Amino acid sequence: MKKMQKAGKFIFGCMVIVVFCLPVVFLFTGSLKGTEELRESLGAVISGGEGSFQWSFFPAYPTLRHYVEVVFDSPEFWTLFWNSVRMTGLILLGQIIVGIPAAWGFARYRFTRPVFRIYMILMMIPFQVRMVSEYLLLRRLELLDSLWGIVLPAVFSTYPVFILFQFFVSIPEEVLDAARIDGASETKIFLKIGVPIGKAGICSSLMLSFVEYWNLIEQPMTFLDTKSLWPLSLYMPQITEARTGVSFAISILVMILPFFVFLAGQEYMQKGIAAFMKDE
Amino acid sequence: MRNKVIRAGVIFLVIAALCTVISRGLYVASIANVTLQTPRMYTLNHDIEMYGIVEQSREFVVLAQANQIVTDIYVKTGQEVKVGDPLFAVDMEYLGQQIDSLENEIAQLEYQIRDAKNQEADRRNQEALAQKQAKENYDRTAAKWEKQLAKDAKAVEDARRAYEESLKKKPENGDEQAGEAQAEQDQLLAALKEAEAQYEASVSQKEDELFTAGQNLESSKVTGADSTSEEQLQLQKEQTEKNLSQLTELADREGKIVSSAAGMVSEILVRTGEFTPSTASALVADMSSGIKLTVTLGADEAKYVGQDSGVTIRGKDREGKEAVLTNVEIRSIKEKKESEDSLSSFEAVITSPETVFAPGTNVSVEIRNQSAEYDTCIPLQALHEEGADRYAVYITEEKDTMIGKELVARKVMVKVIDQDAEFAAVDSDTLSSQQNIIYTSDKTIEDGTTVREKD
Repeated sequence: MKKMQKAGKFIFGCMVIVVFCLPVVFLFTGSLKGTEELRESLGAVISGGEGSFQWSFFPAYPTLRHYVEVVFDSPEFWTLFWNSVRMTGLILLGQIIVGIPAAWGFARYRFTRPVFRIYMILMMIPFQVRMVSEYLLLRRLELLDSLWGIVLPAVFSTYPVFILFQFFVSIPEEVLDAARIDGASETKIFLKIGVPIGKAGICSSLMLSFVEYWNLIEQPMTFLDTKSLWPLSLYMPQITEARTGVSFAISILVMILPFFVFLAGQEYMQKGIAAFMKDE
Repeated sequence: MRNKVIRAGVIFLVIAALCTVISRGLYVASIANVTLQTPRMYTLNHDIEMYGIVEQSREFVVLAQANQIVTDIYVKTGQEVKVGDPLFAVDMEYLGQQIDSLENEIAQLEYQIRDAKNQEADRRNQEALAQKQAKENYDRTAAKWEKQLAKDAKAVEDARRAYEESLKKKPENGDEQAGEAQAEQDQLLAALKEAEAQYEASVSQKEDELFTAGQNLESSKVTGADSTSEEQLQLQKEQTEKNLSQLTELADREGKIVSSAAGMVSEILVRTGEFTPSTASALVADMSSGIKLTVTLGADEAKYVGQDSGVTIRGKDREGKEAVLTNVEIRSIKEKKESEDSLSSFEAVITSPETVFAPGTNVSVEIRNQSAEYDTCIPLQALHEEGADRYAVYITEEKDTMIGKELVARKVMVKVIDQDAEFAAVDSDTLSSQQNIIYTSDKTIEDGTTVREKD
């Protein structure tokens, strides 16, 4: 019985894995197919041609031409790649500097709770609603068509504060009181006790922020006119139907850095989620 | 595990940086490097350079008696001569024969003139006699018929009188005398009628004869045209005398043909042993008249050349040194078309009063002509021909791309107003002076090609 249950769980798990991995496998095999082969497979879907969608996971004539075209013949890809790295890096750095202390303040000082409630309401407002007001504000601050117009609003995002708040609020007050009795200042308490204890939460928050801002598309499309400032997420819409193979190759390449980030931080993510669930 | 992942991520970023540099390098290597220029104001030069042979401006023609045998030629082409210098000589014996022949011819002509004169006098006399005779005939005929008519008229009168008298007579005795009177009246009447008839006939005949005599008289008055034989012979004689005079003069000079002006022998048109022509025997250039050149211009060149264009002639002077002559003008420009199908060309005659260059010298001629100043001129290298009389240039436009601001080539059709060897003037409506024109490129460019300005 137990073996059957275990087998069932295993099969179910495999099915889930297959379903979730299928898009990635689709992209990867598509990136190895030639243009003609892709036209035959996807012509009916993409360009409204005759026939039906047909896909083979093993390319008949595998080729690395699309990767070569992206890596060596498309300097704009790398320009946008480094724009994404810079933008995401600045946002994460900003969130570390601003978000973590803000979350600590909201978590440990009760008098800030009313502000925190208002702050959380802001989290509910989607970007589409606040887009116009944000545009006007950035224009007034002369931050339109500038990287800081994307970075600064993201640095002061409510979401990481909310996540970190949950981690910081779970730290026992007695630990902090003990530190105060020993003469530690509030800053020291924050830096020596709060941050190390909340490391899992901080890493989780940063990871989730990384994934969110690496794939950011709405704000750059709205606030950035200069194409040389665009992040990588805006490169894909520039690819035409005739370069479907290139779009598949780009999709794979775009995934690499988030994949490394996720691998590096998955332990913290697990700890963070476990700690969160435990507190709940 | 985490460290390995972090290390792998760092390596990935390093590889990404390398790929960035490589892809940028490959991209830059594929971009055309261009040099840019802005259109500017310029005055086009329609200078033309060509070569020509110097000739003397004026030449004297040396004429000699035709059909003389040349025995000696004393000068050669290029030799300077003075007035009276002998150029060549003819055979004296042949000259003497010709003189004798002319003298005989003159004598014959004199005889012929005299004969013609006598013939003319005879003709006139005959005409006068004929006229006189016709007049006499007419007068005599008129007189004769006057008499006759008078006689006939008297006869008619007499007959009428007799008849009228017979009518007045009355017979005394009976029918016999009446019958005799009647018969007499009839006779007289018949005689009257006969006399009248005779009179009428005489009148008619008189008219006929007078008409005929009158016609003869008129005919005799018509004289023939005066003969011109004498005048023609006279003219012929005068011409012959003139020829004789010239030959005599030549004989007095021992058969030598001399130059009538100072100058340089430019051409000798006779040869020893041959007859002298009726046209020029030699040409002597007038050294004081300056020089001239005749150059041929194409239709495209000629439209820029006018009589006010500046001209410079360069070449070796009479002493062999390089000389430049600027006191030069274009005297005339004429179209020269050899056939209907051939292209038009123009002949320009260039003159100078100075005689720096000797005739026959090969010199270079530079005709300077500057156009008006044009607002928008571009180097000819920047112009691309797109068909018959259609030209385009490539300008640069800044384009915002994902790599940054880049220059893109844009083709603009332009209208060329004028051009010389280096620049072309374009219509300022088609191209502005603010635009950057692609002057040169190290790769082929098309509309929309990304380019980079050369450092």
